[in-house]
Amino acid sequence: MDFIPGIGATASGLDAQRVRLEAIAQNLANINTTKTASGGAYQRQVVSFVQELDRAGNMGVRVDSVTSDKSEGVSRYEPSHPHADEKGMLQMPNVSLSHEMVDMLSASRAYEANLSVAKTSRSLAQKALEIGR
Amino acid sequence: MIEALLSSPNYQASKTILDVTAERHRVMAGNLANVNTPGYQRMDVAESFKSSLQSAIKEQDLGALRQVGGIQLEEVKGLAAQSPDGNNVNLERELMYINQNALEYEANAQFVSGSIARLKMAITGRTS
Amino acid sequence: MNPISSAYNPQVFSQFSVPKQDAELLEMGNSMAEPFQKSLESGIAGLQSTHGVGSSIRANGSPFIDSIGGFVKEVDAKSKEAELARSSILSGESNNIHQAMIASQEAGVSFSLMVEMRNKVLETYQELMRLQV
Repeated sequence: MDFIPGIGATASGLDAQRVRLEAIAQNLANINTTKTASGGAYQRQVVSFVQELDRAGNMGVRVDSVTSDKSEGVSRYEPSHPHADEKGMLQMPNVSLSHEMVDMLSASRAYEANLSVAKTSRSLAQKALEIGR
Repeated sequence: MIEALLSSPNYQASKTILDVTAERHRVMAGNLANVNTPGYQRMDVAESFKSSLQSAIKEQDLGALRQVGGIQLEEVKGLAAQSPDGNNVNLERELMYINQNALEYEANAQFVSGSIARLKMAITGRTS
Repeated sequence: MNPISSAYNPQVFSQFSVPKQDAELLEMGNSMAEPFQKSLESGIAGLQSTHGVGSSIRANGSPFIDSIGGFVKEVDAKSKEAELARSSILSGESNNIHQAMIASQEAGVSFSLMVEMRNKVLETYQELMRLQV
């Protein structure tokens, strides 16, 4: 049982948002990766969350899976590129810069919110210890 | 004799409110952790429980306060969806609720502390 | 009708049956004083006994000693409650620190009340002894 109320849920939230941020960072790093070990262009990684009740009874969150987005990215004409196909078309990754930036903002806001809750929870527990003194 | 000293309705109310606000904080921390979970519905202390507690406090009903029992939680109805996946947790609003609730907790802890400190003062005749 | 003459009319007065009311009041007063008288008498009798203060007071069943006994039981109950809360926190069974803190403070207050009462009773007894000499 947590002495700090709800810390189990808050920690799971921090963890999940961190995984999401890592996926976004990886996507951004590979925004121009036209060839991967498995063949084609880099595929955007998508993190999915699911709610989970932990042992202490807190409603936390869990990363259900990190999957590849199978949608097709932009394909452009660049015959001089070493990874271009026989028609001279180069398949780009399906990572959109603006989309990833917005996602990153959302993830970091959520991360900071959970961090602020953790601080508040701790100060509540300390206030409880000061009762009567 | 001791029971009579500690049986002020406001004192008992503060003790109960401490329990309720602590539970509410736990639940809202869970809401915030799930701010991006698809389809997640915001949870809070049941409205019926809140109103019955409020009326017990208003009427200074000691018996009702003592019998408050388990705190019921419920999925809050009628909230607008905050994202296309049906999640209805608003990050800023939830943070605001959490901070207000935390203040309520600290205030009631202060009330209880004050009552105890006053009792100690009355008994020992010393101010600390 | 002359208002003054009716006020002093003994017939009007007798409606309020003044002499009877006086007797009733006296009886009420006596019945209220009775338990106080009884406890005072038994207390004094206990003090005057030469067989040792403790046993004789118990034998007389002084209400003062009875109330002290009840009080000690209450203090004991409060301290047991505090111990229970403390052990449930230690064993991890409960995470309700504020209630545990409140319980321990309440037990402390009850205990110090008992100690102060004991000091006062002792003081009073010592003063009485000094008076007799």
